[in-house]
Amino acid sequence: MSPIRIFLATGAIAGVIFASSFASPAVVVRPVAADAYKIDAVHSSVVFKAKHQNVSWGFGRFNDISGTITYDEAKPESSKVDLTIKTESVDTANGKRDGHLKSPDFFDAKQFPTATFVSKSVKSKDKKLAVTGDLTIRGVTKSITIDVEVTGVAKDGQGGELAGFYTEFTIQRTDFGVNYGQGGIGTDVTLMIGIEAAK
Amino acid sequence: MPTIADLLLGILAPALVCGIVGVAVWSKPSKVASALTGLAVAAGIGIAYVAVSGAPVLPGANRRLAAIEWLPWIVAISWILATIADARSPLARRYALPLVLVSLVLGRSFANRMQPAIPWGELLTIGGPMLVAWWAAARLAERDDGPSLPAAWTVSVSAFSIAALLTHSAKVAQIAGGVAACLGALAVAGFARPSLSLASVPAAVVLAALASLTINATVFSDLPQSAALLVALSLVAPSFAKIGSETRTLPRVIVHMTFALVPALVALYFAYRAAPESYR
Repeated sequence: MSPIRIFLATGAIAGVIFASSFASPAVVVRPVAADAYKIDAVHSSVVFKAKHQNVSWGFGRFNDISGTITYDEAKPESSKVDLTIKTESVDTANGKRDGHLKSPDFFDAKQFPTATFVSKSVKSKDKKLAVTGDLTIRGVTKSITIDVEVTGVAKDGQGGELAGFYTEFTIQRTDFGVNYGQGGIGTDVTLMIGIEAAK
Repeated sequence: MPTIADLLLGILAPALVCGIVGVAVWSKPSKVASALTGLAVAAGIGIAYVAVSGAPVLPGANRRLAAIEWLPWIVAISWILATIADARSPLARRYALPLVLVSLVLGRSFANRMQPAIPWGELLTIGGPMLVAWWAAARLAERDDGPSLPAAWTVSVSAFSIAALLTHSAKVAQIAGGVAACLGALAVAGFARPSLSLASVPAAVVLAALASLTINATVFSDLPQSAALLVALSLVAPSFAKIGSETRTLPRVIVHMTFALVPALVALYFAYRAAPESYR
């Protein structure tokens, strides 16, 4: 094969291999309904806990969350949730531990800057909502169903409306590829999420 | 702490596979020996990966792979392309193959970082030195037969493994340990089979694995780029040792290992300085 053909073939192969990286978009833009509530990060919290050495609970939070909620009191089954959490914002009140949590040993925040929950269906269950949706952490997406309590809906006094929601659920971190330190840090992680959203 | 199973599967099994094949292919023609030795190295790295991360995963609708999860696929594709290039022509082997494999490593490793904008600056900053080091290391592998180069590269990769462990990359460190085990076994096999060579296919597989592991340790974790550059220098440092082909095997091995050790130790120092303090 002549050097020119080798050069052209090389360029073509290298280009195809490299361009295949763009085939799977890292960011998915989801449509937002015009009457959706927008999550108020200042008045919302995402807190988690996991057992340390099977002795005590260790707590942490994510400080940067965003998203939208579509909620109709009259038709709760038409509700939708789209929550995004910035993994870089993890905060356990210890900077060195936070750095480790952001590393590839845990959240791998440089590769997976967000964790997301996107609902697929909502059912009324007793006085709560059973929300089924896709939870994505570290590039792994699992379908889960969580019980969500509607903690209140009210006017905000400025012509807008506020809605509050609370949920608490437990996941296995190993299901999402977070396998580090299973001996010392529990694999059951409980998330406690309190949301205030406004429109 | 690693368990006995970790050591058996992550270190001993890769070493056994590479050592046995390294000796067994002594009577084969050089291209066949190169392909088979490369396959043994690829299999050894695959075993080390499985020991750390479980079975390789395919990307899918519910699964985006992390850069480290592309490693077994990068190693497999490298072996296939290197074997083809080796059978075609020296031009394909020396120039086309490194370009294609560096593109493969960069493209897969940065697949999660291509949006919202392609990080061209970062890709060129990493890809340029990577390509230069690759060419130099591959040329060295073509010139050096016997145990000296595998022994020297065992030193380089072992230092990289320790550096990765110091900087929050436990998974990278363990897999790199498997790569070092493969190289160490080939060094031992080289004493029994002086014609053993890393040329072409084995070198391509090792370099592809190392390139992927280096990106994981530097871009996605805390290994300083200076340490990564020094590990690359350690791989090519034996080429600065001006010793004649008539030098006996053992002194040759010692000289090459010493030349590889110096930049490797400096790399370890930089990694130690950059290591995050323990919070426990």
